[in-house]
Amino acid sequence: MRPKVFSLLMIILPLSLMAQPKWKKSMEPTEAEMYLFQSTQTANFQTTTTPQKGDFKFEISHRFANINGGFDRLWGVDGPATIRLAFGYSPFSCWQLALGRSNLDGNWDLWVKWRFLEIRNEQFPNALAVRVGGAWNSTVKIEGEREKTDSRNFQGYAQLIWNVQIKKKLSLGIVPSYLYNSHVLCKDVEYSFTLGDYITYYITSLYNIFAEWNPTISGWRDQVNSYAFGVGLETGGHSFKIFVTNNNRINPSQYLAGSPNNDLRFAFNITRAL
Amino acid sequence: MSRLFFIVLIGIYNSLIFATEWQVDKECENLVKFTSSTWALTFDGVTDRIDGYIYYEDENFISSDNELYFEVDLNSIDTGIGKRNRDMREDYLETDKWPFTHFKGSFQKLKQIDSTVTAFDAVVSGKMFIHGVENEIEIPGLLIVENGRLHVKAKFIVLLTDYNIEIPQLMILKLDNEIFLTLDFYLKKTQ
Repeated sequence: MRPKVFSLLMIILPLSLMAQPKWKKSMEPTEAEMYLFQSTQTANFQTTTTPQKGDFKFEISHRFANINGGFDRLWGVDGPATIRLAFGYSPFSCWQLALGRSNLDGNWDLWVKWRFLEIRNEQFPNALAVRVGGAWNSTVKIEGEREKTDSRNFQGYAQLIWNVQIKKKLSLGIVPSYLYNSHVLCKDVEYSFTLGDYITYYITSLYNIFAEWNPTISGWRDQVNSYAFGVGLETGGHSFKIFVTNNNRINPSQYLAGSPNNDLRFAFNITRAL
Repeated sequence: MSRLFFIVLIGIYNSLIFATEWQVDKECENLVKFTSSTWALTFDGVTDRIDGYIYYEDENFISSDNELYFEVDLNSIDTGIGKRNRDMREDYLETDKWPFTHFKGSFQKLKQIDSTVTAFDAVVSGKMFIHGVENEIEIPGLLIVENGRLHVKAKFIVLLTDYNIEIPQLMILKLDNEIFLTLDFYLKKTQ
């Protein structure tokens, strides 16, 4: 009797176990891209955030005239304004390219950004990116001395971007930057090394306030260091920033060299995912 | 005793021999889509990251003794805008806690609607898990056997509030509580 029962169990048990779905869970959750800032840029610096792969971005930015113009000049909004238009594109995940132009010296600007390191820490997630770019000041011409395509009209820059986020509310950035040929009208080719800093506090996922500063550590600098502070609005497709700054220079190779004066002016950036 | 042994053995072998299982064919163009709207705006979120199975213990096409399970990777849903994806994951679906949504149930109705293409109207019922909340639901759908695969199509509505999901707001526009889900995916029979 016992051998028969044992034999029966030996047959039934494995077969019973086999009468189950063979499907096994094999799908791991997709690792979402890390975003420490809602936007790809602050007022004048880039963040480690990049657009989604395949996305285009359009940017329009203005730096208005001096606020001291008062009511009659609508606090500088009547202009003249420095304007930047730019298109950005993300060919790969974590990469961004952009081509822009500022009406100040006809500054054409081409750069690439790559977020190469993400540290997924629960408390303090942080990331590192680099941006490398070049600029051509296409309207600078000195009669009998310099053509528009003269090598002195070209500038280059490289930036390391470090971002950290604290409890999903506060995001900080430090951006050591090197600028070659700091100002195209300097007698000699100069360089600037700056240590940009910025901070954004997210009141909600929609609204934030921010401030930034770009002290020159060594090399050439115009009269004063640049700074800006203002409010941001992130709607998803659009990113709006309205702020006050002491620098009317808008493209990176111009902004990094500092500001010619300390006059405050209203400014805005709008970026739109296309 | 030997007769009992024989009967049991035959029964088990029968159930084993006639058990059939279909698993999601990840090589196919699968689609899971949600559509959300406000009075002024409609947008979709899509992914192809669905997995799961249909299992039944019979040789006939989906017998009464059946089970189905499907899961979707929520982190992979793309609405076309990075920030919207991020907000959806972090603020509403909280995918760090619940990265998958899943449905487990069984077929309640299955009716052949066209003998030439082997298509079936189906209704499944079971438990839908989203955002840490499980609810009983019924889902109507269509099954089509084509080229050796089982093509599943279904459209249904879930309410955000049923799953304890805060209704998102885009500026002053509040999204509808109703989210339209569209499933269109393929399964292949396992060996």
